[in-house]
Amino acid sequence: MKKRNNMKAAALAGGILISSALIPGCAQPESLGTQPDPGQSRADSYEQDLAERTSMVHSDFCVAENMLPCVYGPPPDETDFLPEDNNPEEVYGPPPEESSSWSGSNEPEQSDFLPEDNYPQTVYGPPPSQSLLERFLGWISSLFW
Amino acid sequence: MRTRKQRHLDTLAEYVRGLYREPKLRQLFLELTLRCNEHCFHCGSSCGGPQGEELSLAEYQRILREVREDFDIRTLQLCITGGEPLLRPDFFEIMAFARKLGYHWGMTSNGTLITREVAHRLAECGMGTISISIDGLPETHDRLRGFPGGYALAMEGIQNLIGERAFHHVQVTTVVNHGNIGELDALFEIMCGLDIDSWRVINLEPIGRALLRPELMCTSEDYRRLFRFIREKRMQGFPVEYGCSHYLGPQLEREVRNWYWLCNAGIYTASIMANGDIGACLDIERRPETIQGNIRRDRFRDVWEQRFSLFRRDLAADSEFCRGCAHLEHCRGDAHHSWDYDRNRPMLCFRDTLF
Repeated sequence: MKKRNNMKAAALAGGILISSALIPGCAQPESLGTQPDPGQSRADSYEQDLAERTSMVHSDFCVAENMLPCVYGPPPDETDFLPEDNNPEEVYGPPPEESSSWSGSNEPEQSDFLPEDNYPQTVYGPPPSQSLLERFLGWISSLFW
Repeated sequence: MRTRKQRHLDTLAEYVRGLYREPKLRQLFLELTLRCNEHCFHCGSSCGGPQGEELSLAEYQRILREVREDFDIRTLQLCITGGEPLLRPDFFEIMAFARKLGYHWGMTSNGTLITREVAHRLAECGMGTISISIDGLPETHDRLRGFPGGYALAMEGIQNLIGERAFHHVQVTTVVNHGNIGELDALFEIMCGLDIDSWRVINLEPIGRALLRPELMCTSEDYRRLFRFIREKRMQGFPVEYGCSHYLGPQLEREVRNWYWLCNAGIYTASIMANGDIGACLDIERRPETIQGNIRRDRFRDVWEQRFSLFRRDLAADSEFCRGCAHLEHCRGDAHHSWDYDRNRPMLCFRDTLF
């Protein structure tokens, strides 16, 4: 299954050195990735990250989709809503540690930051995907149930 | 000048009032049992032994058929909870039936019963998402949950779920209280070693058995520390998030979670309790006025369409405590689960603590 992002991947990306003594089946200690290149500032990384992600973002906040993505995962899509539509760069300011002048106002004029999974539908998991074929088969089976 | 977030919150407030008039069922919680093999001090449902006659397999099959007839289940998520759902001997029969009918479903579990075989059977039954509780380092976790060895079993359960590689989302949930907040950083390191999709960090709520342990409720400084922690990790790119519990004010909203706060109770969410009672969110205090019907005598659709008026209004509308608050429009009295129905005011309010 394709993984968009997860804790371990984020740790790997950030060069986090973790202790795995409390994780059954893991050796201790375990190094996840390498330390960040000191020549590249975090601000640079954010800028690159932002540039990549803003290319996917093209419209504004979709209020109808601002529903609870509870631990059970969101319900399947009923609309053509695209998670990219939930324009996150408008609401995130820069990380506080990068800017001592950060005020929390989150106006887009500031250098924005996008977390990896800034999609309301995916907070606790992506929407259960159901292809047209799956839906068709589901409909067929429902006729006989 | 209003910020974009404030404008979004304004828009959302208007939209919520539309939902009061035209609610949309998105999540249906099924509390399969109140039995549990753990005894968490903070359990919102005061779980433990069986409490009254629980719904049978045949009754669940009838409910699932009726809901499928009455709603478009393609837009509905079945949320399985307890107690510990896996303690039901007929758990897999119920969920296999749900799958046959085409339901999407996810589950919360303490993870202690999830062997490799159970993980495999969960996949076979079509489970999409799951959240497992880890409430501290091993000693703390086991103490808080009243189950020696529970931490190790839960961690094995998580590994078994990950190893199955069949689920949309595997999550860990941690309930933070005054006693375990000091372990957040150590827990974060552990979570970084797990191939989980997200880590949900929530605060202890003043509900259920937690009311018996007021000394473990978070202090104002604990709350500030908790939200600073979540926000910082998210800024660093980690899928750490706060739950849906409370309105956090214009600065934190949509920064410690990906969406703006909205109490879903009764407008997006309904629940069928282990004894058949029908309510909104399972965390809401169970008292006569919050119970809207019982599935043994009512058809769920009728209750959803004709009752639930308690949940389709601003809680703060006639609250003396909330009157005149500058945040009333966006908070609306906060969440139903933490509303004090006797005193007509919220039990938790973050005004002056966070904003």
